[in-house]
Formats: sequence, structure tokens, C-alpha cells
Amino acid sequence: MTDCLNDQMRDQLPLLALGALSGADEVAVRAHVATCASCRAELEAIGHSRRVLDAVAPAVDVATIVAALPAPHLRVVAPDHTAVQPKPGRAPWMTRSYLAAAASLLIVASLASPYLMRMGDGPKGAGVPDSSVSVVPRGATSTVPTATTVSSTPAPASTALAVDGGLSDISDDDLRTLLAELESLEATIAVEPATIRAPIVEGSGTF
Amino acid sequence: MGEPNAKPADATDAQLIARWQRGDQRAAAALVERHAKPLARFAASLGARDEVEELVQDTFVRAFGALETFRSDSSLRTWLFTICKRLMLDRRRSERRRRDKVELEEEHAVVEFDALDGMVGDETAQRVRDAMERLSPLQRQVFTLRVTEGLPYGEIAGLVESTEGACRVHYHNAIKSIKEYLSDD
Repeated sequence: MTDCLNDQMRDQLPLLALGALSGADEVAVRAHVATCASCRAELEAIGHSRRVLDAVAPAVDVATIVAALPAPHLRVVAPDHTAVQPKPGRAPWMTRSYLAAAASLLIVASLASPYLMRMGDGPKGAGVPDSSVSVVPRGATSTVPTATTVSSTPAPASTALAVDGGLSDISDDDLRTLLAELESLEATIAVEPATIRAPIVEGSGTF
Repeated sequence: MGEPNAKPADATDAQLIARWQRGDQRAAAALVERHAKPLARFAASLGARDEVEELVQDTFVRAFGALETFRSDSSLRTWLFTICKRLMLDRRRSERRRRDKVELEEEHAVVEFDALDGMVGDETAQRVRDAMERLSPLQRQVFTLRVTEGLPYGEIAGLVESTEGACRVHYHNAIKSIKEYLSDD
């Protein structure tokens, strides 16, 4: 028997045997097979071959294979409307940096505020310009020297500062003293970062 | 993609993969159930004998360990076939190193396809078996993938590392040979 010369039809025969052809294609191929002895013989050979190949393949134990599978790398699952999306362009470490910077600013501001307050409490007579700065040792008496009386010797670490007027008017020496005082203080962040909870996974551990 | 919460048997491979990645072991079972038999057929066509079941299991273990890398450019089944074939070749190479034997090369592998030994069969089945034993490994692989899976020639070509045209020729030569064995009196 000579082979069918209609390669297009012959190519469809395995799919016809598998039942994988769509309606129109199946009708066309079946119509051809009905009139072509070669394709009928080929379709029969394909059917025999499939049965043999099925018999060759041993049965496999699905449960054994599933038990041997590695655990999945669980993914975070959240419904779309509640999905937690990181803000675009801002990495977590950046957020932490911003928080740390903000906390530092707050601490510095809170430490500096008494000195600024004392600036406002100082004598503001006609003879005392707002820009005057006084450096007073702790425990000193109420005598507040004016800027003109500031000693040229560096103030000790325990020196308390009294600032009258705005910070813009502080002299370099006094500013250094103020900064040294601030640096000697130990600052800690009182608020711990919120704990990141483990995500809830769907269907975990079920079988 | 269809209904995401479809029953495992109705769900697509992609849906089942997603479910397994969320921890649903039933999805893994459904995937194994769906692809184990075709994989076993393919492994047998590669010349695997007693090791078919082990090869199929190793294929699944390897595949599930790398599902993150699976791209839907091809079907999951074709991807599994690719892994299976590589594992088979690795095994043959190991055996060759150990025993200094040649594997899977055409002239040697013909005699390795004796997985049909002991198969109860009528005369027709015996003839088909005889015919398949005489196919080259490449012909057998192409024929198996076309007849049992209905894979397009392009996909088969990727699996067997050949061309689409060559695979078409391999298939037609194989079916012609089997037809001749069946028609012999």
C-alpha cells in the first residue's frame, strides 16, 4: 500500500487518535480517513502503538513522589484590595534612616530648648543687647555677666550655658561650648520600631 | 487563566503551581497525578527500564525545586520532559564513567529498549514492539512524543535538540516502519 500523499491530513492523525482536534478539523480528517485506506491503516498503527507505549510505562506512586517533593518557597498572599505594597522608590532602609534622622533632630531640639528658653528669660534692658551671651558655671550665683565679661578661658565640661538672644548671634567660642555640651550627652531612642509580623499564608500545611 | 479556585483536576498547570507556591500540597499532588504517566512513557522511550519510576520521581523533585525558574514559554509537561531527558543523560554519563560503557548512542541504545520484555501481548502488540525496538532512539522519542502527547513538531524539536523538519521525517519513518511490521504476513 502506498503512503497517502496528503501530508497535512497525515500529520493530524496522531491528534485525531488523541481526540485533540477541534470540531471542524476533526470532521475534515475523519472525512479524509473514510476515503483513504493508507490513512486508515496508519490510524490503526497509531492506536496500537499508543497501547504498547502505555503498557511500557510503569505505574508510578503519586503519593511517594509528592512526599519527596521539596517544600515550596512560600509567597506572601494578600487579597488585592488589602495588598501591602511598598512605596515606590523608597527602600526600607531609607525609611529607617529618615526615622533616625528625625529622632536625632527632635533630641537636639529638646536639648537645646532650655538654653533657648533661658535666652528669652534673660535681662532685656536697654543696655543689654539681645545678642549678648553669658556663660555661667553650674551653681553660680545670679550674677550674669554680659558678653563683654566672658572669660577667654575655655569653659569646663560641666559648664552650663545661658544664652540670651538668637542663636545667630552666638559667638564662635560660645557655639563650640554649646556643641561640646550637647555632644557630652548620651541620646537614646525611646521608641522601638514596630515588629514586622510574619505574613499569613493561604492553605499552609493542609493536604 | 480560568477560575483561580477551581478544583485541582480542573485547574490549569499555572493555577496549580501558584497554589503549591502558597503552600497547598493538594496542588502538588494534582500536578504529579497529571504528568506522571506521560513522563513515565517518555522515560521509557528514552530507554529507561527498571529506573523509570525513580527517574520520574527525580524529575518531579528537580522540577519542583526550580519551579521559580519555570517560564510559561513552553508547557509544564514539555519542561518536565526536558528535565527528565537531562537526568537520563546524566545517569548514562555516570554509568559510562563507572563502567566505561557507551550509552544512548544510536547503535547501542537500540538494544536497550527492552522495556517491553515480558509484556503480555497479542501478535499485533508483539509486532509493534519489534518495530519499536528497531527504531533509532531519536525516532522513538519523536514518535512517542507525537503519538502519546500530540506535541507539535516544533516543540518536539526543542526537546530532542533537532529541527522541526528532521522531526517530521523521523516521525514518518517511524510510522512507516511500524505499518510495515503490522502488514507483514
